[in-house]
Amino acid sequence: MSKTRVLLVDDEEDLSLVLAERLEMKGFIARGAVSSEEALNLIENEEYDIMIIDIKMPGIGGLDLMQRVKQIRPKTQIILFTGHGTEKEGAAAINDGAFDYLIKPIKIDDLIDKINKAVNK
Amino acid sequence: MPTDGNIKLEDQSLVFLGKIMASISHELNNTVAIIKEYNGLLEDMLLGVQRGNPIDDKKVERVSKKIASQTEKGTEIIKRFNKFAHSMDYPVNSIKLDELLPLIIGLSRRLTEIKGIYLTFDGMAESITLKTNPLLLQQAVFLGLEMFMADADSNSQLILSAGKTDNKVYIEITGSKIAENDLIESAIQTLEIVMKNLNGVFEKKIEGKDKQAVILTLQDLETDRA
Repeated sequence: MSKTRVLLVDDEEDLSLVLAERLEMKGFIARGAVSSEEALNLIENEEYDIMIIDIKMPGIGGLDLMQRVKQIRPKTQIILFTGHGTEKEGAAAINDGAFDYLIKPIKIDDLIDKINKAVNK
Repeated sequence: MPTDGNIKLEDQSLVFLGKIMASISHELNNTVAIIKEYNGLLEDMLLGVQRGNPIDDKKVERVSKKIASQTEKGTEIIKRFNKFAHSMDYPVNSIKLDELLPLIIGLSRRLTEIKGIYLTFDGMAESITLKTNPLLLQQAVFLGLEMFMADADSNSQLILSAGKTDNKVYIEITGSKIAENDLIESAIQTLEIVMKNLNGVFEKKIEGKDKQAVILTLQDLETDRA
């Protein structure tokens, strides 16, 4: 069985990188991107099973990125990161095609659980 | 608290405080989230060692440095928040503009970053200490910034500067064009009320092609000249 490929997109570079590192240690192929623009460039050439996207980002926001990903890579499942202030946006985004959302700070086990559920959808 | 039409100054001051607190808590939340994940990474590494994997000294050192730098960042955010909170200890107080304006920039960081706006302080030719209402003054500057931020393009620049002419102190915010919509109109109305309560005025100026400025002018009668 091939490893699940995950792309984390968060303008907090340290957060996307450390989460990618932790997911790698737990058996995933994970990569971090610090902007929607960087993520869009990456998915042009590479396919990811899961994208984890922060809603609030400069430039192209997380919800806009989700819509673009849906067009470019319709099979990719999306999990959103929200802060406490954007929790409602996360819940609403499920109606727009997000698989689920998590409120930061997240628990790594919750993230892995949601990734696995999204892959098996 | 004074009212002007349908806009109540007290309500608008609470809106301002809410926005600042939301911005600071968001910054802190991100910092805590990163520290939490680096701590988690250390736990993952420890688990590996317990299973017989060798300790990766370099990795431990890197993670430790990351935790230290995020802790430092969190401490700076808390310091800013504390300074902001204590700036309102008295309804009227002596305020050093060369300290207050960088503080407002720091407090607005998350809001400007999310829009991709570069907000800078242009410095001051001389130090200015002003006796005024600290809450309302900070609210006035923030409203001026918000007028630009509402419709600013990513990568646009906002410059905050201050100075003194005759018996007046001015704070100037320069940026690209201010949008014309209901949101801006409401901000203008609120800013008018705030400035009235500061015994000052504000004006919107066009400064060359695609540049506008919001200038807050305050009487210098009570400036601490010591």
